[in-house]
Amino acid sequence: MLSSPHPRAGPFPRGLAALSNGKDKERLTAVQRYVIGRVLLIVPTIIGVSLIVFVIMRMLPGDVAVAALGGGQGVSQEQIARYREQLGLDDPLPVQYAEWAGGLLRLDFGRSLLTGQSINEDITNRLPVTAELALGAILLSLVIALPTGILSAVYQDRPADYLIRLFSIAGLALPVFWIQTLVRNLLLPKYFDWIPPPGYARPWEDFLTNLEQMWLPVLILGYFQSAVISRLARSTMLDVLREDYIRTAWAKGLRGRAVIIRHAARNALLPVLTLAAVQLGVLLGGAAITESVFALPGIGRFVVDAINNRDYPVVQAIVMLVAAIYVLLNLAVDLLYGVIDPRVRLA
Amino acid sequence: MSTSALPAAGDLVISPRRAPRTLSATARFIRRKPLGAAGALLLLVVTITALFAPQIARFNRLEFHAADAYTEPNRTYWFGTDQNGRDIFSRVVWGARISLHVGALTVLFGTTFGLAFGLVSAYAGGKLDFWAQRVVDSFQAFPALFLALALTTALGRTITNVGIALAVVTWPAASRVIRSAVLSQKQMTYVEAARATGAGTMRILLRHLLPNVMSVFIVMATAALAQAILVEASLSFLGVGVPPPEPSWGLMLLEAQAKAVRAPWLAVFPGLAITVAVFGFNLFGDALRDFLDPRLRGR
Repeated sequence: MLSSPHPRAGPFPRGLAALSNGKDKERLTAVQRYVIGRVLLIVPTIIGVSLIVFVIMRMLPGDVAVAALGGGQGVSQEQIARYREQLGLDDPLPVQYAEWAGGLLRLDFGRSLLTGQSINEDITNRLPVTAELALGAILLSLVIALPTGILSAVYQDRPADYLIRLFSIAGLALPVFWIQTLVRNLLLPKYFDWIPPPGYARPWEDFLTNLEQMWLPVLILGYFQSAVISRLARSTMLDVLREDYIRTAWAKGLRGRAVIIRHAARNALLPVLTLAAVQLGVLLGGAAITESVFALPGIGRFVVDAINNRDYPVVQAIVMLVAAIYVLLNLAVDLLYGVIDPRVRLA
Repeated sequence: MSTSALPAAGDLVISPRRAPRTLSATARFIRRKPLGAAGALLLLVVTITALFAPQIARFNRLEFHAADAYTEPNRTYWFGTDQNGRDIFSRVVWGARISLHVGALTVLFGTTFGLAFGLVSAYAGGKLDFWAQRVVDSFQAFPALFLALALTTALGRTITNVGIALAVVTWPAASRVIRSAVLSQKQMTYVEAARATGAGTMRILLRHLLPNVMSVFIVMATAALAQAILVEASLSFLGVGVPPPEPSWGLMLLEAQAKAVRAPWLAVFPGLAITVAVFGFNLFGDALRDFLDPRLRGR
């Protein structure tokens, strides 16, 4: 076949024309294969998490039946044995696992061994608290970290950079619960005669109370998260600012803001957004301390209490929920990467 | 050294002239990374405090002085006393020992296991690597704080068990970092050369690959120590770490919560101690990473 001397001179633009040949069909299949493979990887991960949590919870010493029956005082051995049987605690472990996993597939997390209450209901009540805390903190951290990270890179080794780095290193070294304790239990009551009202009011029911309860924990947690994100933003910006295309952008006379925001930041911030998404997943499982200090009834504190009470189904349910959110966030980021950055898609 | 005819790059890492090189490298480190050197100094202070806690502490860490309850910091009680009149300075000093004990166990078990796991997984490749990474995925998806909490509760609340629990939390991330370092190293010509000269798997792993990922390991171990100190304090702060009356810094902060207004020193000094230790490790670790990685020099 004769090839045209002008490859672009066909009836279609190059990209569209390319779609009709076999090579691109193969590439499309490769992308699809990647997506399917990536989605399937979730399955062994989630099964792995479920096995780990199931085994660890069975390792806990003590007996939930005794705890549920008021510590076992004034209760006969037969009553405890009957209660254990009722709860299914005497079944062989594989049977217990299969029953629990079956429930998970139907999104039925079971009931708390201690209170008998539906765990789905508990999650519905408590997840919004932790979700608001984690989402608020991550959004705030991005608001702080993106400009500071970019500025720090642009003004590398100048006073602004040192100041910002000091600010973020402090965020990494100071224990979050120390600052929270100092602010919530010392600074506010002693000097302002005010502490955030305990408990949680849903924002759509009582917005002002919600704001009173949440602004401080979100502010503190947001600052600490921004420390991690700002450091990454700085380091990826530094990498990008050394690229040839940035030098080209400067050379062709573009204004500073255009080079930094449109050319550099857009490319540098992809890993930053990835980190933010991953941190969101981490925060959902790590907000127990903040919830403790500020007396917020979120899922973190719920798990801490459940572990202490050997309330297996509650711990298993929350761990699976948080792990699933974490895994899905990672998946979303991986797949979005390809959508946002064509270099990744074509690689 | 390798018995092969070809000198392998991996062997060059271990030099017979180690002592003078170590000294000059230390001097270079201090000159190039003054902040890192400051971090190292902080670490030295924390380590000496931990090692010589019985000599440095002014009172028995558990001893009650009921008459001196809630004493403000003064010449006798440098950091004041708590509700039972226990000397906070002595408790903070002993707290350093607990923190470093837990940190050392975490590195000894967690990071080292991560090193071995990552090394073997990356070198073996194929199905073994695939399934090994799924195990790592599962541990990483497990919320770290909950894992540490559940394990500490399951194993029993002792300092050693907290260290073991933190090791279980730490190893997956450590193995990931080592794995990616080994993946890039195993493509290198020196590994191919070693294999061509008949070196076995164990020899390639231990004599060639291991020395070349040691710098990554050292940096990671430093970070893991800092992280372990923080997480141990967090666990104790939640009331599920080191049991009372031992003076873990986190536990001291937990106990200070309700009394912070009356006795602010109870909340100030243990937190300050955690900050100094973690800050020291972070500064040192950052500088070490930059120092060992030529691409990051000057950042």
